[in-house]
Amino acid sequence: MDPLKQALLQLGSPTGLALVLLGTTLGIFVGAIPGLTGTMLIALMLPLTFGVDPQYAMTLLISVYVGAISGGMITATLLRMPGTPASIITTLDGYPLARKGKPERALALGVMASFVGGMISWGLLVLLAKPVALLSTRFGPFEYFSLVLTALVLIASIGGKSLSRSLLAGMLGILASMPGIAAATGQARLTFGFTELNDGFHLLPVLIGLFAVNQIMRDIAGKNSTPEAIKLGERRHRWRWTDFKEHFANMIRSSFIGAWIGLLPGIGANIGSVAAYSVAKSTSKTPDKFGTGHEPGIVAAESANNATVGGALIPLIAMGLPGSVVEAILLGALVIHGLQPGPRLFSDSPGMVYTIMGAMFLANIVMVVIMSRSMRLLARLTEIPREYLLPVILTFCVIGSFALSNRLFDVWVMLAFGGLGFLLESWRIPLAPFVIGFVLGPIAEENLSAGLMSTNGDWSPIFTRPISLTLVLIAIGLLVLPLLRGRKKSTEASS
Amino acid sequence: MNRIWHIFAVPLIAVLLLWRISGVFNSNSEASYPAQPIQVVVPYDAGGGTDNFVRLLSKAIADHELLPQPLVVINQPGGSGTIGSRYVKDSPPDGYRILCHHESIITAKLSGSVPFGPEAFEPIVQTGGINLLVVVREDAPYQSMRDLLEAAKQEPKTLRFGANLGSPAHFTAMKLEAAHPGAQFNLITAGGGQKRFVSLLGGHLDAGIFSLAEYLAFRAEEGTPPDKNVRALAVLSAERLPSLPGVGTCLAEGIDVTSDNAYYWWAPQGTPPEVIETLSQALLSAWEKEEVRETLNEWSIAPEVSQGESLLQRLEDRVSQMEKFAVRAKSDLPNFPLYAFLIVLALIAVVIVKSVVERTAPSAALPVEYRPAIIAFAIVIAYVLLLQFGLVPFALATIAMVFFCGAIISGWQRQRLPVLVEIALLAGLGSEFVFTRIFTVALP
Repeated sequence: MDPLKQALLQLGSPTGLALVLLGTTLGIFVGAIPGLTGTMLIALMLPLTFGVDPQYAMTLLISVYVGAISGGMITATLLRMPGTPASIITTLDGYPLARKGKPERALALGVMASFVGGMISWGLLVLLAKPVALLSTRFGPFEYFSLVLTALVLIASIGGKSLSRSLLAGMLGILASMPGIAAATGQARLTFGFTELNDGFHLLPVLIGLFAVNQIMRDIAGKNSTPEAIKLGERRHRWRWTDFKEHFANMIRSSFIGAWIGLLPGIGANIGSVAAYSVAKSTSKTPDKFGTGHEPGIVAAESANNATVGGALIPLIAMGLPGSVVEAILLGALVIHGLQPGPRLFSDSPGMVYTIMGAMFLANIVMVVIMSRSMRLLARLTEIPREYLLPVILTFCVIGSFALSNRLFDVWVMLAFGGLGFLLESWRIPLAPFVIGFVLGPIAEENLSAGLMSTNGDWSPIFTRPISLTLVLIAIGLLVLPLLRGRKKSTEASS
Repeated sequence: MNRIWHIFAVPLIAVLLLWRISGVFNSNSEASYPAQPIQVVVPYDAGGGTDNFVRLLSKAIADHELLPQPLVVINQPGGSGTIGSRYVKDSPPDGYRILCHHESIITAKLSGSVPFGPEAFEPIVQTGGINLLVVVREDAPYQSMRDLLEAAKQEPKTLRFGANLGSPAHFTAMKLEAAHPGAQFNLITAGGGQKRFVSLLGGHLDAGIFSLAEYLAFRAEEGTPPDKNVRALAVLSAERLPSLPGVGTCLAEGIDVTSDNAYYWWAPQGTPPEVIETLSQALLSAWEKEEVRETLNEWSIAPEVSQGESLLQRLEDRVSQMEKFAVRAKSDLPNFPLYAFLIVLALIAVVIVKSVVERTAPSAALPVEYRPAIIAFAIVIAYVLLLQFGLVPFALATIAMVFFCGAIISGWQRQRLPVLVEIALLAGLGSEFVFTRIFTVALP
């Protein structure tokens, strides 16, 4: 039978649809719980799919992937506890909007943006997978380094009120990523005698420490200062068709940015939303409103982070290159089921490729239906008394950190970063740049080292290679522009 | 609202309690080894080569009931495999926690990243060999291994060769250099197999070492433009490989180098010999199964095994072969941590100066009441301490933590406490059930 037809029949069968529904729902659920991530769920489910037909197994795993990246938005918006690094940027505007009494509105915007982002990147995946995948090989070590540099400046320029504080946060994040075995030399450094530190701090404990634990402490302490933080609004706060028109350009642009950045292995999901948000902010007529619950901010962040899924699947399908841990596990799932991921997957097992594409499409639709149906219910999450909600979230944070690599050390790391996050925020140092710096620092270092090794210590390719130079110029522009703008504003104010 | 909650919560708690109590009775039965599930630590991420390999064998052991208890895979990635290997090394030698790891366990010691090597473990058995190849981009000027080494001799230290510092591939590269006096590669740490493949295609590397499975996966179909495909120069095995009849060996070119890698199973030192025997029997019987053979063939893993004396001999040979080479540390790289630290200091100075100049008032939204937060934080710390020292079972500790935290937050309001008790029980028992029964994670 024609592989396309077969894949469609299989996906459309009751089992196929049930798996999409199950996977997406579980993904949303797990993505929404701070401490548990889609990555973890996929890793844990992998052994359960052994006995299953490979196409059904992939359907389930892809659905979890799509669900989880969307679910992260829920707690990021309502509680300011992003479930994944990809939804950090959503906290910047989603949470303030929810605090203004419009949690449902914030969710609605995010869901629609997620859907559009997912669909646009799905289109790119289907139409362009093969030609586009080869683009990622153009990125050598120096290009990666410049890209990370640009991303760090991007996040610093959007993360808070003060550029110097944001840069400081980003650098602190990089510093925190340095203990452990250095990628380039294989030697342990800055471990202060703790052998557990040989692998450095893991991202998940750092993320949920900084955001979830810190926020829980803040919620407990601030009990009396903000008695009823979020009140449910009226039904009219939901999505309207006029919104679609209003946010159209933003959604399309952010989705494309997300999908293109998602292409690059190792970087995608984390900075797709950063880049889209900062572009939305810098092209906006009212950049000052960003960070105060401004709707375009939510739209940009959410359409971009969902778009990275399709973008990241492109190198996976076309060349067998995983862009993130999730994708590495998906790749492993293919291998376990006897498929050879790589440049020949398309010609050897087209049925699997169609299944992956089809599952992503269906999961996106299921995601938008589930999320918009359950939005009101989800928004009521904020009405649960805190004495019930917070201890349970804490339990999940502890289990999540532990299950990551089965050691309590990561739980201690989480608690320590919880304390650190509390202090940093009290000193008005924003946390988003910290985490992005933490994520990107090792990538920058690894690539710079590889680059310097191959040139025997010569730095000049950063400025002589065209892609790299362009990125550096963008980074410098981003640093200088806000300063110029600030000066202009202050002269206007004084005149 | 509250009533609906009770209707759901109470029966659920009852069921979980029942499960928990019955579980306690079951595990009390004394039996010969293995009386409980055996944890196999994979020192890499789920979905990687080692992980798939272990899962294949553990599935065969479970399917054919070769052991009365299942093998449970525990992923402990990081530190080039040293986090997981150290964890097993420091585990009690009772056969309930073992390791599957390839020859990085030797090179990790030789390159100085950890102070222990294979001598710190009891080797159980070697199952499977990994064949290695030297690969270049299809349109590269080198037609043979000799061409490549000659190029590395003509212009030493310029040919960019992807071999991660201290990895088995690094040692192989040094062996190749030694076999062709004067040749010197520029050895570059370029990441895992996929990353090296992209670097080859993008022209960021000139050559690299890949496993047979990786090469078969990355090699595109005939007719792909030569700058978008890869080509093997030579295999590093003693004989040609059946799956790649067109690729010659290094030996045939007169370069006296062979190199491969293999998967070994390890137990902590001091594990009783009969336990080692039970494990190696089970693994070897699984190894003989038809479906395992077929899958290994698909994955291009050579069907080699060794155990007992021959295994010890093999390991000794490996160590003595590799010991001859000292890892070339890259000392000319900048000291990144120092730079980062200096930049942080500079930025702190800027921030302090700015805030003094601008005299910004402290932010208004400071939390008011710190005490409950501090107490709750202390409870969580006590909770993790209890788990750390294994003083209290996970479920019990969690129930107590959830209850006391909730009570502190609510300020011990009477009417909140019953629901809180239910939530605590559900969180403790429920999470234990989901994680140990459904996902087979080992909780603290």
